[in-house]
Amino acid sequence: MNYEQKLSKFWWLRNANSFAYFVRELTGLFIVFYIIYFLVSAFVEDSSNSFDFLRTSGFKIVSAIGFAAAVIHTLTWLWVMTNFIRKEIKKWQQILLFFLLIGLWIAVSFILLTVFYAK
Amino acid sequence: MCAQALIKIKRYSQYSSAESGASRPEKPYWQEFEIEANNGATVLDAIIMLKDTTDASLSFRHSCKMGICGSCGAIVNGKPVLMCQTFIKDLKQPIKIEAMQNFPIIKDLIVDIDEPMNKIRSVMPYTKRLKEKALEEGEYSQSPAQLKKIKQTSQCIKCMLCCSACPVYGFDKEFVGPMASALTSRYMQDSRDEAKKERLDRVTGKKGVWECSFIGECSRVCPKNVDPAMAIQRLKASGALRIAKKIISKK
Repeated sequence: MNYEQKLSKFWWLRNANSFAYFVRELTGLFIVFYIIYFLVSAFVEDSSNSFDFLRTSGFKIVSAIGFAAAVIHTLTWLWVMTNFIRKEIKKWQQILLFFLLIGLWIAVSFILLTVFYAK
Repeated sequence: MCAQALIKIKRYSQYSSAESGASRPEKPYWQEFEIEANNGATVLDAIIMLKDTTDASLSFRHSCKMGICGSCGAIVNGKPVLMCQTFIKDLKQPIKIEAMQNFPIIKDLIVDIDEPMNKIRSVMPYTKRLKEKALEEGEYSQSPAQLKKIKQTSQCIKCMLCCSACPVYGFDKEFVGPMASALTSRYMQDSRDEAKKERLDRVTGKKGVWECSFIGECSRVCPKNVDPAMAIQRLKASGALRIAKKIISKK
């Protein structure tokens, strides 16, 4: 009888690439948690629409965690995007492209903030 | 120049030893060997030497010894590699060698590869024409640009290291897997093939390419730089476009 091998639940610890993938997916959960917390605070608990919950320490902590998760999530996906290049590129070129994508992300964010959201 | 190398191999045998009266353990177990390896020796050279001089029962697949046949895949120090392309001098000791993950072990380093081979067969690994032209009309020619499109994915040697590295395949054996997906992508891009829609439908159905989470392990371990991860993402894009076209055409 052949021996059936079972994949360990901790397969994501076997190398850096798998760990990075796990972190990428886990940060999504924290972002979802932040969104749910915000929606519950805004639409269920804040019946007066005063948005006082924004000033509470609890919300500030959740926001900080959500923001950190969003940044890590974005950075890991920007790194994954550098793997979409069809040409074979060297490691330093991949790193350069990664930082260029970060620069593009910051530029787009700046434009959105100053042009569309600034009053 | 020779150097001592300590090798640990994960052994497994489903058969009991009739001569010694001892039965083999039911689970795989580690066995240690010490060898003298020269500077240019590969892991495959080392285990062939072990089989010849120390333990003739040691079982493994190998053929070309030059990274073409894809037979000698194994996990060496935790990484799926071709043993004939992995040098002893580059490895941290003790060198741990075990059978490829995600497949049932038949004996020692030999795994059952029927399931992934069936998946390859299921994606029609050959060019298919809706209508064949007569022999007198000549061959189906390709331009250099058309050949370049299929060159990367044509390098696949079916070593199955990608399937061994894929955690999705590890948890769900029905997943089409990176190897069959890369092969599908190869024929999808072949200018001579006329069964693209049929081929795409086969890999974008249930347990198809949508199961892939883009972990990227398959491309990382591929010894031929086939980049199965990229092939799967391309198939996802093609599949999504096909679904969109189907919806629009129904309207």
